[in-house]
Amino acid sequence: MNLSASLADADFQAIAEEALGRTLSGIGRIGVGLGRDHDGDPAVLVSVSMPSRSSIIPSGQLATARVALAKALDARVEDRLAYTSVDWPDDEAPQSPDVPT
Amino acid sequence: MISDDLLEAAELLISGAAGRPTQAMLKRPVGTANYARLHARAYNNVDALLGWGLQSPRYWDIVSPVHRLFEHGPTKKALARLPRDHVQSDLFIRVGSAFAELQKQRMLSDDDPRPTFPLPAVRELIALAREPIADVRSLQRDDRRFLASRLIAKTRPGPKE
Repeated sequence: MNLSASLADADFQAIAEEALGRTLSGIGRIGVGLGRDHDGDPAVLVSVSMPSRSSIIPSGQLATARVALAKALDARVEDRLAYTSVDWPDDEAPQSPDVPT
Repeated sequence: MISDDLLEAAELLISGAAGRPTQAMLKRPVGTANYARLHARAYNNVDALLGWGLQSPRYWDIVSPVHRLFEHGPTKKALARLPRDHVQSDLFIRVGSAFAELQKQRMLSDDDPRPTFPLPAVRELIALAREPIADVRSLQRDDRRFLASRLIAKTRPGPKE
């Protein structure tokens, strides 16, 4: 039985918050959106907002968090891949020389 | 190995990035780090399926296609299926997750004109590229063969599937 159709947005939010909250420390708000990835495949797009003046999350810790999220989604028979990005509020917004500022 | 040299090149590219680096300065190391993990995967293909000690007058004719036998889309899906194929190793899941994430970032860095990357994100992505490279190297030989075999495009379901 494919349960993915029964997963609501709130379910994805709860799954992401549980998996990432368990494996990452010192993080801020977790946002979850359903969209498509770079290949056009359905994807779970997760963003982690870091509190001001945070250090970079150690890569091993982030990899462990991604595994926890992948396993949590897989346990719900969710086919969509999850992508987790980290937002850095302290950094100036990236700019392009091709766009007037 | 080429993958180690590429990671070093990515680190060099951001070592001089101070103040507010341009997107060119920030996107290049993302692409370079991504190629590092691709070369690590390709190295494993040859090592696991042929062996780098192959003796042949047509050495590169044989090695080159195996080195680069995977395609990004099917490889992403094959790696994502590993847990469903009853491969419960966290290492495989780490490799698959990093593959998809880095490929997404590579397309943002190489193909998307939007300014995307702040400096901390680039540092994080270079560190992320190191993870699957180390993970693949840490696998037992049989697991590395299994991983390489999963990346061959157009695999057919076996009788038990």
